[in-house]
Amino acid sequence: MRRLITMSSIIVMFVAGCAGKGDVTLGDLEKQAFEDLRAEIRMAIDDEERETRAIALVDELAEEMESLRLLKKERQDRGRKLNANYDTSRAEFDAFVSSSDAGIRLNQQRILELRKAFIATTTPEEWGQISAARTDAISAAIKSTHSI
Amino acid sequence: MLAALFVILFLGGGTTAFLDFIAESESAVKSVMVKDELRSDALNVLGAIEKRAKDHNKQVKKIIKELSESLEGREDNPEAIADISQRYYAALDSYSSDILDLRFELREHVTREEWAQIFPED
Repeated sequence: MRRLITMSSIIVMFVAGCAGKGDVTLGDLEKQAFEDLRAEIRMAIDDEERETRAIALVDELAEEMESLRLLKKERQDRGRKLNANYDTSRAEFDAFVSSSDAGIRLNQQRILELRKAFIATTTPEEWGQISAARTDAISAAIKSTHSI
Repeated sequence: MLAALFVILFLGGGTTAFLDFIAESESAVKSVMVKDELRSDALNVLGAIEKRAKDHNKQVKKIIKELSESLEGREDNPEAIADISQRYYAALDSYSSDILDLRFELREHVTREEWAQIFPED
């Protein structure tokens, strides 16, 4: 775990030092954060079958996160493009806002189901231990996703 | 980590609000527009956008905190989560509407040519 955390710290330092230079992307950071989470699960869950299930759930969460990052970027680009056009109508903006909101709403039920599945796979102690996991990469990935 | 992750995914991202980048155009407005009443009006609108975006982000951070507390434990509390979700969308709708009003107000003070320079497509 010490090695993992050290690796996380290195990546976080790279992100901090190379922001915008394309050396380490938010995608790389997220990847490391999810690796840290998987490592925490391996430490917290002794039962092999439940451990495998929990890791599979983390894989799903990682995919959701990647899709969200791409979607946010797409929304941001579309918003900038609409704004750049002097002639964009209010109705066009409203349609854009509605479709963005609808996309988020559609996803919510799936996220709650993933959480339920995670709870069903873990004991209260394991859940507590995994929930408390917070390496540098995890913190930086959460912060970066907020600021996209 | 887990609660924060579920919150981000549940709310479809972070606190960065729709079109709040417009507020960051102050220096572009200052360099593109001549110093007159229109520019002054445009800068006032930018200030109002920035203020509204800050208020919205503050509101969303509170919602995130509440949602995080609800998702942290193992309890199933669909009513509380539905209530938070509803408030989130109400805040988002109100913010989007206000910011669009301000965006069109800004446009009234800026010519087509100035707009293209202040907000380039790329």
